[in-house]
Amino acid sequence: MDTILKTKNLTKKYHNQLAVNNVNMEIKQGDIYGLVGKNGAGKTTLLRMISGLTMPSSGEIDLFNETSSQGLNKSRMRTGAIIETPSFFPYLSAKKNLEYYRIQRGIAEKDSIDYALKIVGLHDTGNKKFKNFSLGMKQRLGLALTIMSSPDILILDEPINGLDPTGIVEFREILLKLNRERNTTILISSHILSELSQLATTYGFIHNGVFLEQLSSEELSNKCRKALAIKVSDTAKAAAIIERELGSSEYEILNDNEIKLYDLMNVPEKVSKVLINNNIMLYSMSSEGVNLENYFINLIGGGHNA
Amino acid sequence: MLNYIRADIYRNLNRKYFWIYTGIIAAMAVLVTVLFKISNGIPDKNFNLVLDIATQAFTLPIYLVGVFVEMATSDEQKNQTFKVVSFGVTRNTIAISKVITAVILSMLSAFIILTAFSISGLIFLGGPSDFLSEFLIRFALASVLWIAAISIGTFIALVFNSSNISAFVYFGIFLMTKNIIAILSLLVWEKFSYLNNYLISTKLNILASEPLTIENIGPAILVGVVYTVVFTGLSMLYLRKKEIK
Repeated sequence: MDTILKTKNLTKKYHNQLAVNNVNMEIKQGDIYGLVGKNGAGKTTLLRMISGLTMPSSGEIDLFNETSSQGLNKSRMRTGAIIETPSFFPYLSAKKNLEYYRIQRGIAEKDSIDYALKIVGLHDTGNKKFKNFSLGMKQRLGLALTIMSSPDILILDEPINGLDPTGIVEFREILLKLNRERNTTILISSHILSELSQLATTYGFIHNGVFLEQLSSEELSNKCRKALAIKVSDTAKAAAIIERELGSSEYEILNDNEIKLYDLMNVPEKVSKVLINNNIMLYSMSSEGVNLENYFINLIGGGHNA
Repeated sequence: MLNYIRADIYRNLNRKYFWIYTGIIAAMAVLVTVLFKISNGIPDKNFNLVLDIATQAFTLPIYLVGVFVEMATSDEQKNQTFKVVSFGVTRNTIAISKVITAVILSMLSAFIILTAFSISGLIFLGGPSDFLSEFLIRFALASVLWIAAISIGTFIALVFNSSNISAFVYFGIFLMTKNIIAILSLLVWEKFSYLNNYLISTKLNILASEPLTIENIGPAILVGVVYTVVFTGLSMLYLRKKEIK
């Protein structure tokens, strides 16, 4: 897959405060990239720089292989973005707001407005003005704006904030549909991790402006997989015993004295008995396995940081 | 840029504000001719006299165009719609387009108001007026200075996020500058008074009341062009680094 967005040592400083510190991230075409971080972690600042709303203090943004200011402006014509709140004119209806943006962006197809409104379920709002919309409707109109031009990448900053549970499900379905049917790449930030985990194919973790880690969903699943963490005196011998006497090959030797066993989770006493009977010193055995939230909390250094 | 301006015009023409504002001023212009018609205190009532009075009020549009700056620029600040840069609209495009949009809206509004004024003048006071063509020439020349005022207003509207503050600063500048220069020339250095020669309002007064000679027209146009270029340039420079909320 081609890389369509890459940042290199991207940094944003406000006075003496580093909001984003040397971020290197890479998004490939077709990815749904979940940017994970708590409030104030630097997610919005990072997305604002990528979208051109704020200028980086240093570093580079490569969007569709363009890095110059002029080239980035050209590349941004291929993006759709909702950063913070969707911006519309309160005195215009949904259709007139989108018509304004259609003219502004030079989108020739007039039916793109009806198409976008239908996708987000706002096609029957008539002359109702934007100021009278609910928060959920406003968010959906924001999404309509971003998809109106059939962008190659969507940049969405906390887009499900303010949506009710039904709205969240609908929003997720729309994003998945766009990704599936149009191969639209999506960069989405959220602190609602359970929601991100249902969408993302790649994750980037950011904390206090520092980009901690980038993982594919498979890598994350492996890291979060439930396992028995066993500390023993001799891992090679223990592994051979587990294979021979317990018939399991679902294990991973982490280092000289630690093994992760991915099955036999229900019979830890059997595992310990077999190891002890074979003269393996068993130092500890614990059950491991985390969800995205726990993984993130562990990554940023425990609950006191979350 | 053309698309950006077209979209801005579309937005404003779909807004009641523009039509109500234009309608009120047009109605006031008609009312002036009606008042002239029914007034008993004016001996020689004709359309020329009304046009002459309108010419003397050439500084008034400085304040009227402030509303079009508000429509074009402050309204976007208020609704945080400059985020279109995320769709590849350049900041320079925004700065230049905002001035052009306000100019187009002002011209459209002026056309409606002048048409209403002229028709009502011809109906109520009789015509045709032999002063009309001169009035239109003076009006066209003064437009350069009003465009300069729009450029100043646009810069102010870009700097201040609040439309109230930007309106206050804009009107304050045009209302107070002459007085400040007078105080400075009185208390600090009398040569400060030369600055008056470079004020938009001074040049408008010249275009309103002095003969239309090259000596009067040239500097007035030059002042208008210089202000427009300088303040549009400042808007571009300011927007280049601005955090767009």
